[in-house]
This record gives sequence, structure tokens and C-alpha cells, in this order.
Amino acid sequence: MTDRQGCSHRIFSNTIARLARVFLPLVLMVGLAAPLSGGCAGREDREAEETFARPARGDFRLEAWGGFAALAPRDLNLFHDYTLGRDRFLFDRQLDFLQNNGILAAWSRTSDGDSDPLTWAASLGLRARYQLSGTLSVTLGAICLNGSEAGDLQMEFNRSGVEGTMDRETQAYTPLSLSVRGVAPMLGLLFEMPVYESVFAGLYLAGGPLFAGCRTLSDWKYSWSHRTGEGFDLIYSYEGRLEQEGRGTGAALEIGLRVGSPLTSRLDFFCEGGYALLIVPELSGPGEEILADGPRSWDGPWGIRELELTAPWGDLLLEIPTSDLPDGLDGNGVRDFKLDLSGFKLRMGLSFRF
Amino acid sequence: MKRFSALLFGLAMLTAAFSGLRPAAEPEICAEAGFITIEPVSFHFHFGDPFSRLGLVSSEARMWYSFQPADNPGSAAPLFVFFNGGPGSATSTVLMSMGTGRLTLDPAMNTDPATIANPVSWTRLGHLLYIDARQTGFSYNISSENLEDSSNLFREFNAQNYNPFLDAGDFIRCLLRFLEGHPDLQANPVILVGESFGGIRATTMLHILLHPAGYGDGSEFFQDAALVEEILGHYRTVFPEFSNNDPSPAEITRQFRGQVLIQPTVTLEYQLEETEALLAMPGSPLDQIGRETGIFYDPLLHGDSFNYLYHIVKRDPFIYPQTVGWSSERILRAAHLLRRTPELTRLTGVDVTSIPEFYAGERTNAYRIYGDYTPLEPGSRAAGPAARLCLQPMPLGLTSDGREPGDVEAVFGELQPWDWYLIPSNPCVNLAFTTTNVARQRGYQVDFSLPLFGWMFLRNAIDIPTLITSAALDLTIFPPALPPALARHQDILSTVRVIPSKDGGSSDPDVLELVYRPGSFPGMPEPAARRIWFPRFSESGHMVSLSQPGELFKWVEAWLTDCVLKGAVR
Repeated sequence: MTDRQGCSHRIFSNTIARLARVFLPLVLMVGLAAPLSGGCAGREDREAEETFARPARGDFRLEAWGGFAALAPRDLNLFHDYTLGRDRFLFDRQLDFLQNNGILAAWSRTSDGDSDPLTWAASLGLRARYQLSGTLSVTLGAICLNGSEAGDLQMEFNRSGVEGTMDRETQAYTPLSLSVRGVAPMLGLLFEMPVYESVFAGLYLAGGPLFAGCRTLSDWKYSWSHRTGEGFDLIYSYEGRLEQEGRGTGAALEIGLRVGSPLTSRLDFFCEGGYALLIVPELSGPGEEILADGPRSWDGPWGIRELELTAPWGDLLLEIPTSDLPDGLDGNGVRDFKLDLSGFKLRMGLSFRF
Repeated sequence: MKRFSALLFGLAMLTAAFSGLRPAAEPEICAEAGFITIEPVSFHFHFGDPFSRLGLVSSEARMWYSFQPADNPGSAAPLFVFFNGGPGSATSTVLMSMGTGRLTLDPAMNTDPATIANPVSWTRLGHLLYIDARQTGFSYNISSENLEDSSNLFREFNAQNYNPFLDAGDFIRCLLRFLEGHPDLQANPVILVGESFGGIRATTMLHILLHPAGYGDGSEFFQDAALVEEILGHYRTVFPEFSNNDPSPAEITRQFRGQVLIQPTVTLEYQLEETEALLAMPGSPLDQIGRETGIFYDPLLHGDSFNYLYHIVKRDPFIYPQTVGWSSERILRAAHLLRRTPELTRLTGVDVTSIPEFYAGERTNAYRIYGDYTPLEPGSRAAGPAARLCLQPMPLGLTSDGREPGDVEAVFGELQPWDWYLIPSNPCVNLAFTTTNVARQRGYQVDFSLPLFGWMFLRNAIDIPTLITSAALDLTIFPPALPPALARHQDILSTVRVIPSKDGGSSDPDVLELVYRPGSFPGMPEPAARRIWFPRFSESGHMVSLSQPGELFKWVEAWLTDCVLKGAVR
């Protein structure tokens, strides 16, 4: 058996695209905000002419930022693991079994494209900040998260029969995707003080409700062809689609460090990094499946459903996150699902003092 | 005058009174023939994961049936349901035409008309229902696709239309719908009569009928919820005392009372292996043929025994003393007969020109085959992209200009090149069950040679009285291979033995005794043994009803009396 991954250059170009999506708005914000804050005078001139006012009680600021959020939504990512694990069982293990039993002389698998679990999201935020004192301020704002991992994956399996026959099967996903979206209005505190000439540092803490959702999508096609001397003739093909959505309410709590520097008398630049606990303990929503024997749809709470596959070549236990739970959350082999968007966050933004 | 009038009046009153007491005349049950339509069926295969199931939808099927009422249609007369095997072989050109019905093809083939009265018609035992399987005999499918595109035509011959479970479902649907249309017969005992692959079909039918719930609740790897609902609806009708519960297998056997299996496949992989081993031994029929022909069977030189018989020594594997083609010649003779509407009318007892589904105008998107539709010379290969997989020429018995003989086209109209009135043996069907089957490709146990079907047969045999023929001249289903083949199911059976007849097989049959292991099936009483009638047919090959119809009738009649009607399976 051989396995060959292709298209590594796509990973690099995808990363560049993601970075551009996050930082381009920031660059635009900086480019637009600088003139608003007091003109286009050069920085040296400004330093000579202005003094940077320290925050004072009663100051009011508006801040906006964008950045990365690292994610590890284990329960949601089970869908990715389920799909690939299931295919390895249905194809690779079957073909191993047939070869071990002398039905196939050999088989091979090649893959093209990629499909990854969801590991990050883009975040944007806005907050209003009111200085309670020179160092302490209260904040009220909202963060938005939006993450998506959509892979195109094609697998090809070639079977060589002991009589010299050759069959080819393909299983293609266009796409296999996971996505999350969330909004968390948050109330918080920010402690900040100057640490150097024009650098300040601080600590922030905020919390609030989290309104979030997720979506899984698997759009796939299978084909089987037989070699008949002049090429491969299609014997059969079929396709299917499985799409699910879920929404729920949870809690958000974040803590982190902040460092920044004034750009003008009214405009500061800052970076924040920290950890956010973002959990939705219960989701519910619809799902739809389209296969050749007809469409099927359902709606209800999400859970992790245990599936035991039993085939002539062995057994496999898999788990799939789904709202298709015939006996509800209390059914056999079902455990709770939670949407966990927690993780380290890194963001950059601008703070404008009114 | 007054006295005379009073007498007349009195007579009239008496007549009226007695007419009220006279039992109502038995409703007349007449011969019938025609098509039962099976709508597209949604079903699926699964390994335990509903999201990765193989979901399929069959095409509409028009299944040909012929019904002959019993000579004495009492309320308890059993209904015999006949089907041949293949898969791909027609019932109408074998069991219906040879030795079981009121009329039969003359074995000597030199009478005109070609059918003669059958002195051992099974109508003496009960009602007869013959059914042609999907795309065999007269049965045809209707496609929703554009059949001008040959790839659409080719795609029709796959798992969505051909697998042992859908096949069994087709026959169950036909049977239940026939019974529903005949309330007077709906609760009558039913005996399945299957030949060759018909053994697998009977096995699968009975397993579904005896244990329907599993085929709708996810337990079985084949799921057909609509079929389960139709079966349970039938049971609620014929077993009203069980309307709130699903009847148990023992209760269901009050109606599904037995199976007659004529040279059947029941556990084919083991049967074939044991056959090859036995035929390679000194003293076997192959050894005898070697002495007759001077060419002794050598597996290394000749491959399997079928190849040796068919291609090397030119003997008919289905009846080995005869030359190759003996059996197919008779089948084609029957096909030739049935393509003449007067003969078909005679055989069925029904004016077939009154059956609307025969007519070309009623079957505009019907199809029977894929591939090269022109007649093929024996030994030639079909051409064309879709036909590359169709490995044999079609034994259609066509005329030299590629038309169907007889008057069917003149009477019913010309059909599309991919549609035919009668196909006695359809290799496209056989390939669809085996080679071009996506369910089989994806690992589902639809290969009918698998031991799974032997397991199901042994499960059924606990509750269902069974008769299996032992035809001495058949080398395709070699009777001596059956006992050791069944014994290979060592997880189920502790012993299998043949109890020989007490009188050399004249009135007392050989019996196959199966001793089940304790706990082999849930609820199995311990100890448990079952006896299967295994009568010998010393002059018969595969088609027992053609070679020894009288013997077959005799044994079926005796078995019916001793085992079925007495309820004796032990």
C-alpha cells in the first residue's frame, strides 16, 4: 500500500490568505484613523509639538481590534475524525481483508487535496472604555469569532484482482467542512499603566454570555470503474450530502495582557494576548442528509453519538457529533456535546480617546 | 283448484325456506395470469452507521404471474408458490411449463400442440402460483431514465435492482399482493417451491417472513421498512388475534408451512467445495464419464468440473449422461412455445391478449437487457461499451433476423431493441447479482454463495418443514455434497447424517437429520434435531419436474400429508 499527500504548496498559500484576511482590515483602520486623530503631520514634528496625555478619570475611549483565536473544539472536530476514520474502515480495511484472504492480489490508495480539523478562527471586536481612574477602566464590548475549515479531498483506490482484473474506486469530498461563529457581549475591567516613555502595559479581564453556533458539511461522491482493456468503464456512481447546524448560548470569560503605545494624542495602538474560555454547553439545530434512497431531515439537541460498525473485516467504534439522535440525549451510546471555542487569542487594535 | 293453489303456495314457501338453509355456493376461483406491479422501493444496506449507509432505489418492476386453482379448492388448500433460480432464469419456461401444472410440455417434444395434459398436476394438491423474477421470463422493468443512453441502461443492472434481499422482497410483495387480491385464499397455507438459486430465494424469503422486525429496525444489514410494514399488515389481517403484537416465528408458520427445494443452493460456497472434492474421487460420476469418453477429469488440466463437462467432454452438467445443451434445448423449446399466444393462453388458462401490460403501448420505457442487441452466434462475445461485461451470448432462441419467434410481436407490437417479451435466461441479471454489483463491491454480504445464507437456511429449518430433492444425475447441485456442506456450519450443527430409506427409496424417503448445538439459536429447545425429507430421483438431473414429474408429485404429496399438515418437523 502506498500513500502520497499532494499540494503542500496549497497549505502555504492558504496561510497567506488567512493572514491577509485578518491584517488587511487592521492596516486599513490604521491608515484611516491616523488622519482622524489630528492630521497628517510627521511623527517627529508631533513628538516635538505634543505631549501625550495620561489617561484620566472620566476619559472615554472606543477600541476596535482584529486577530487570531486558536481553537480546539474537540467535540466538533470529531466530525472530521469520524469521516476520515469511517473511510479508512470502509476502504482501506476492506481492501486489506480482501488481500489477506486471497481475493485481491494487491491494492493501492492515493489522495489529493487535504482536510483538516478546525484549529483557529478570526476574531473582531469593539468595546467602549471608561476610565475609573488613571489606571483602571471599565469596558463594555463584544467580540465576534468566525472560523471555517473547508477541505477538498479526493481518494482513489485501485484493486488488482487475482485473475488480473483491475477496478478503481474514488471517494471525493467537495467539501468536507467545519465552521463556527460566535458573538459574546462582554463587561470587563482593564488595568493599565505606563512602563516606559511611550509604552504602557496592562491586564484585562472580561466576561459575558456567548451566542455561538457551528456547522458541519460533507458533500461527497463515490464512483467505481472497471478496466476493460481500453480504459476504465464506469460501473456505478452515487453521491450524498450531510449538513448539520447548531446554535446555543453559553458563557465567555477572557483574561490577558496588553501592551500598547500612543500614535497620536488621541489614538493608541495596542496588542493583546490572552486566554478566552468560550463554551456553549448545549446546542440544538437541524440536519439534513441526502442519499439515493431519499432525503432525511431532523432537528433537536446535539450530542455525541457512538456508532459501532460491524463488517466482515472487523469492527470499529466511531463517534459523530450530531443532532440526529433517535432517542434523544438519554439514548444509548449518546453523550453530551459542547461547543468549546476556548483557547489563546492574539489581537491588535486601535484605541481612540474622545 | 284452491287445493292445488295451496299446494303450490306451500311448495313455494318450503323452497324459499330451504334455499335460505342451503350453504352459499363456494366462490369460484379461476385461473389468472398477468403482471403485479412493484413500485420503486427505497432500501439500504448498512454496517451500523446510518450516515454511511448504501441507500438505493429500485426501478418499477412488472412481475409476471400465472395462477392455477386447485382441483378441489377447499378453504385449507395450500398455495404452492413456484420460482426458478439462476439468478436470471425464468419460472415460466421451466417449472410452469414442465411437469407441475395442468398442462405440461411434452418431454418427447413431438406433439402438436406441444403441451399435453399433466396426469400429476399439482393442482391435485393445491393452488399453484408461478412468478417470474425481475427481468426474467415475461417480467420487465420500467426505468425513469433515458434509455437511449446506454450508460443509463447499464446502470439499471446493479444492486438497486438485483440482490438476494430485494429479490426476496419482490417475491414477498407479489405473494402478499396476490393474497390481498384474493381474500378467500389470504389465510391459506403457503408452500414455497424453489429450484436451484430458488433455494437461496426461499431461504431469504422465509427469514424475512419469520423475522420481519429486524429488517426495519436497523438490526439487519439490509433494511426495507416498507416491506416490513406490508408483511406486518398481512399478519394483522390473517392473525387478528395478534393485532397488538408481532407474531412469533412459530405462529407465522401457521401460514408459511413448508418449502420444497428442487436441487437447491442453500449454502453454495460449501456445496461447491464439497462437490469438487467428491467429484475428484475414484468412483464418482466424473470417473464414470472418464471411462466412457477416455478423458479423465484432472483439476489441474481442466479447471473446475463444470468446465470439464461443458467444454471438454461435451456433457450437460445439469444432467450428465446427456450431451451439452440438452437442458437449454428444452428451455428454449418452452420459450418458443410461450412466444405463441395461443399456446401461452392454453398453458395459463387465460386469454393473454387481454392482458394490457403485454402491449407495446403500455411499456414505453421498459427494458430487459443492455449491450449489443443483435443475435449472437454461440461462442461469440457481445460488443459495445456496456456489453463488454456481458460475457455470454444471450440464449434467447431468436430467429435468424434477430426477432422473437412466435406471434408475440405481431399481437402485442414491436418493442425497443433493449426490450423483449420473453427471456428464458438473462445473463445481464446474473452479472448484476455478481460481477457488477456495487453492494457486493462495498463489502455487503449480498454474495449468495456466502455461508450467511446457509445460516439462514438452518435457522428456517427449525420451524419450516422442508423437502429437498436428491437428483442422481445433477452435477451442478450434486446431492451427495449437501450433507457435508451443511456439516461445515459447525457453530450451528453438531451432526448431520443421512438416514437411508427403509425400502430403497420407493415409499420411504432418505432423510437428512440435522442435530443443532445447544444455544445455536436463541430460544432453541435443547436437544434439537430436525429432519429434512431427501428423496432420491435416480433418473433426474437438475430439472426434476421435467425428468420425473410423477416421482416428484408422489414425494411432495406424501411429505405434505406426513409433515406439513401434521405439523411435524422433528
